[in-house]
Amino acid sequence: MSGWKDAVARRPLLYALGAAVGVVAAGSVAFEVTHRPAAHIGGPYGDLLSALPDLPAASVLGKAILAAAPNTPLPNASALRKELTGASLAAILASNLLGAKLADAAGWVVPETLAELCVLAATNG
Amino acid sequence: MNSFLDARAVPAGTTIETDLVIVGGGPAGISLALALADLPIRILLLESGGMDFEADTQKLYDGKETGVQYLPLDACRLRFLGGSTNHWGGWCRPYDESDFVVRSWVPHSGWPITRADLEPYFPRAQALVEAGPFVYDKPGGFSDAGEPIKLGDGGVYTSYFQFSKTKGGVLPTPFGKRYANELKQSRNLSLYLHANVTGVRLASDAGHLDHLDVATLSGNTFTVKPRYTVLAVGGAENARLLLASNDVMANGVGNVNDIVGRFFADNPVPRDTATMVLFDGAIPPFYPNGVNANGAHIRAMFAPTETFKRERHVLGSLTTVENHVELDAVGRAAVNATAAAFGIDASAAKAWSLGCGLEMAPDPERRFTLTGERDALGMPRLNLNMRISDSDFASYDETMKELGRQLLAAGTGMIHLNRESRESWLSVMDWGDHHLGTTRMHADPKHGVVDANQRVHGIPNLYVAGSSVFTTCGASNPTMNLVALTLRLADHLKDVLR
Repeated sequence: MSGWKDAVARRPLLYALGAAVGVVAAGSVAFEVTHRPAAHIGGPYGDLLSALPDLPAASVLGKAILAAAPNTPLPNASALRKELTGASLAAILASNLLGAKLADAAGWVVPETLAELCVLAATNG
Repeated sequence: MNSFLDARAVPAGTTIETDLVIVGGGPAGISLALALADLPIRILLLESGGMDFEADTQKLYDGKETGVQYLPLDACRLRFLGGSTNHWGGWCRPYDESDFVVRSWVPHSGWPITRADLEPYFPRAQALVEAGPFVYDKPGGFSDAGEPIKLGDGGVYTSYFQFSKTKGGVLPTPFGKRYANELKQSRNLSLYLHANVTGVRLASDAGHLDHLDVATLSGNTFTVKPRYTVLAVGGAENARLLLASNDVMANGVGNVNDIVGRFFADNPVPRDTATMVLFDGAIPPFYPNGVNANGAHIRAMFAPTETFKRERHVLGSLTTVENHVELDAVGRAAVNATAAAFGIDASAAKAWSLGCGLEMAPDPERRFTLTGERDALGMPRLNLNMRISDSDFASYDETMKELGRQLLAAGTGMIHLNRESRESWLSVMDWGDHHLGTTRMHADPKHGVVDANQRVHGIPNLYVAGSSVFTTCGASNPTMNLVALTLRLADHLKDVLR
């Protein structure tokens, strides 16, 4: 927390930190949402992954989850199919949040169901 | 108007008798002297330094360190009138109620006083540090600033810092220069500059404090014989004086139970602890920067609620929004995938690095001890054994996960936890330079050095003031809190000294 400590002792550190942050600092970060029609998704989990509005992004995140935690078990597709039957993904994720069902997705705090779908997206052949 | 006196000009061998001596002219010592200004007693205030920085005086702080890397001891504090308010950041926030109580998940927690005991003193402390009205978490208290970031219901909320700001200026209040005239106008006060206390001398039966040894770097020595003494020389020096004064009590004054110097704490200030994304890219300006609102200079941050701390067994933390950052490919994918899954447009999303100030869990082995080396006045120098537990970091991550959950629940944004290992935490570690806990307050002398009135257990005419008496350290910055505590001590002393 900048400004927290007394200026004399931390000033050199702040300067160094400021320089480091400055290298990566930027204004806006563009986030494009890509929607892929469900019919185009093949593979063993295609039916589940059709629930994801941005499958390429989910796949990237899934790969990152597996890279950060290689022993991550493959999610239970049957249970996910049951969960996704008759409810929208957004509603299920909201339910995850209410129940504090959260996952560590390569450091990102996301709903558990979303993380599982991302892992399936990364392993869907 | 009196002038300040110079201890170097006191005839060697003099004994000065007084009703009360305050040792140390930092925020605690000055607040106490101002609060007692109208009392019909003689008060002596002894300040080690002068009115400005002097390198040879500052060097008296020099010491050694072991354990986790910490700041050099002679760089943490400033040793001239006003003490470390000469370089403080001015951050103010009162301790929470939970900071004072026994918490089953925090060993050694529990002050012998409550926040309610300090409540009457906070507004006066707030005035002394020259912050705004005593409004912090009151709903609408800073309505001028605008609406806070929308969070879902849960265990984290937006709280506010206020900042000390010298009237007519921009810098936080430096107590020495700011209150010099008031101190000079006090008819019952004699303030000696360049006066270093080098010994707290007890009567031979250790039943009370008999006198203080005073020395100057010019080689002068004299004695002060007070009815009552308040040590207010900071978290390191209060402990050093007590430990080094071991002529009557072998382990040092007030140290029958080997507590003096233990339980040292600071507020860790790790940088870039997490990354926060806001899907709409719009952050209220009072999060990353201070703004004027409702008569105060404020800055918003995220804090765990009292309920969340209790139910999830987490420590206090105050999380600030720092710099804009650019996400890597995985970060962009995480935001895109998540926002899309919730049906939220994240095309304008932006990301910020978060920082924080943390509470440390009390640790008796995080402590000051005396070394064999001596300073220019012959006082033994200190060694600090610095430690921090992984559970302190884990506690903070729990709070950040909750913040992430609430951001998503509100459709506002999301969180990335940036520190995945102890090494990673230590690589971004900085410290608040807050020296706390070394003469901790506890009703039981086996667990504390001073009692609820800040009187050293077993020594009826010796008191300690300042943040060294904090039983636990909280996450809020100490200065305004220690001033409030000192004003409470002043009321107690008024009763005692009458």
